[in-house]
Amino acid sequence: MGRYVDVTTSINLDQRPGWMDGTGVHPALRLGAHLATLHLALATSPIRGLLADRIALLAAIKNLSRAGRTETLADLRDMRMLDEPAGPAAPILSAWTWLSHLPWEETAATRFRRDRSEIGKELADPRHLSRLQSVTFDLGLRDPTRAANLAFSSGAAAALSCPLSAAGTVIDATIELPVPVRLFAIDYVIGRCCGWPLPIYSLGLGRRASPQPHFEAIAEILLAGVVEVTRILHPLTARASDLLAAAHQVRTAQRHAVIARILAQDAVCPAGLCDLLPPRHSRRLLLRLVNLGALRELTGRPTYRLYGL
Amino acid sequence: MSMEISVPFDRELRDWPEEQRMREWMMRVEAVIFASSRPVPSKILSAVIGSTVPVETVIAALLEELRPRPYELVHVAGGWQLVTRQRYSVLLRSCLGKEGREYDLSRREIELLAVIALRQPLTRRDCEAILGRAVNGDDIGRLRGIGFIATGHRRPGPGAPYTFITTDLFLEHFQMNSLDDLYALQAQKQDFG
Repeated sequence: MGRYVDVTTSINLDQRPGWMDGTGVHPALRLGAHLATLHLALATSPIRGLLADRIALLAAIKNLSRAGRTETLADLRDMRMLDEPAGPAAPILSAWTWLSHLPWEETAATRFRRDRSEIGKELADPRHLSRLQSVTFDLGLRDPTRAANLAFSSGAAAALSCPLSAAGTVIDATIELPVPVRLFAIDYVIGRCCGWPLPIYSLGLGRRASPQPHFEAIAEILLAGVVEVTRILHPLTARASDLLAAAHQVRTAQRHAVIARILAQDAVCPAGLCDLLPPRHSRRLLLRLVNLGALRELTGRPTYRLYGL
Repeated sequence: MSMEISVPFDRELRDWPEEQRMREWMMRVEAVIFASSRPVPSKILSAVIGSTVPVETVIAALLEELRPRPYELVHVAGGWQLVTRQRYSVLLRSCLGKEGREYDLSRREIELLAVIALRQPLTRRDCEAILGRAVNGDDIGRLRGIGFIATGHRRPGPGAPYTFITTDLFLEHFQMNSLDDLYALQAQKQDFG
């Protein structure tokens, strides 16, 4: 009688492997597993826009506190609400907001970029390049030749296929630049390398730490960033499915467009929906969604309210 | 600063001897900075020298050149400016008085400017809360008139008040390159108690 392996009693493959969160495991290995898991979660997620926007705000808060400022999430939301942000916090806020508006790669198949044509196209776009330069200028890189060099070296690094070596290259290349510019360049390069507009590096970097070019250090910081993103993604996904379910309980015209917009950005205000609905209608729709428990009012104010997940 | 180089001139100086060419570039950079009333950004300076040499090299040579002079080249508000050295400030103030770029600010206005500079962006109500007194609209108007402060984004709340922020002219007048210099100065003061 032949021997066979009983597949019904084998290990449970639905759970993720224990070494992904083990302490003795090399950070690069754990990072790879976490990146792949997050990639699959993002591929089907309806809230990528919201996630990118919120992560950008959180990274901006972290970078501002590194620069000795005390802005909170609510402050940054308010800064963007009525006007263009201004003042000392504005360069960091607009830099990371710009980063979060860069394109996502559409499918998993395009992620691993065998040829470098795509990033080349993006950098060859003069608008993209000049925006990149003006963002680094505002962050404190006042010298135009160095800003141009940084833009080109970031583009070259982002075309590398391995995020770790891309990060190492850009950390080495920016060693004498101001810290916000460095972190922005690293976030840009890693984001373009993975195809995500998520600033993973500056999210994972400790408040008092400075970027180190060793692979292990980079992997540990990226790992912390990816874990943070995952931690934020899961509750948001649950709330997003509640919101999508609640869409059947409201009858306003344009409700699907409004919900799509809520899922695409960090917070919406009724005035921001005026291209879809009259202000009174959008306010009523948002209030109704709050009453159904599908949406939250984020400010706690009686006026100038902001709604989001 | 709107400065356009409309008349074509020889930037590269290809037929000049090496030594003389560098001297001429240094002279040109100094002339532009000397003639300008505002700090001159590197972008403009790099347009008057040859394209092969970085503007930092010329600036470094010029800094070395100006070492024995009573004035120096400083980097303020994102540009380069010629100013007299710090140690002649008392001398200049005593013999020239309020001539030049001195702004006659009252004590109240200076307090207000300090609060706005350190805690920006903030509204007039915030200033009043910090200073513990009413802030006169005229004081704000005067600081805005000089150009030390400007309005920033509006604050959501009753009346949607404007916030105030400092400008590049403020940085220039107080010889700072960025607001980080101000916060560093504040931290230093706190260290001394």
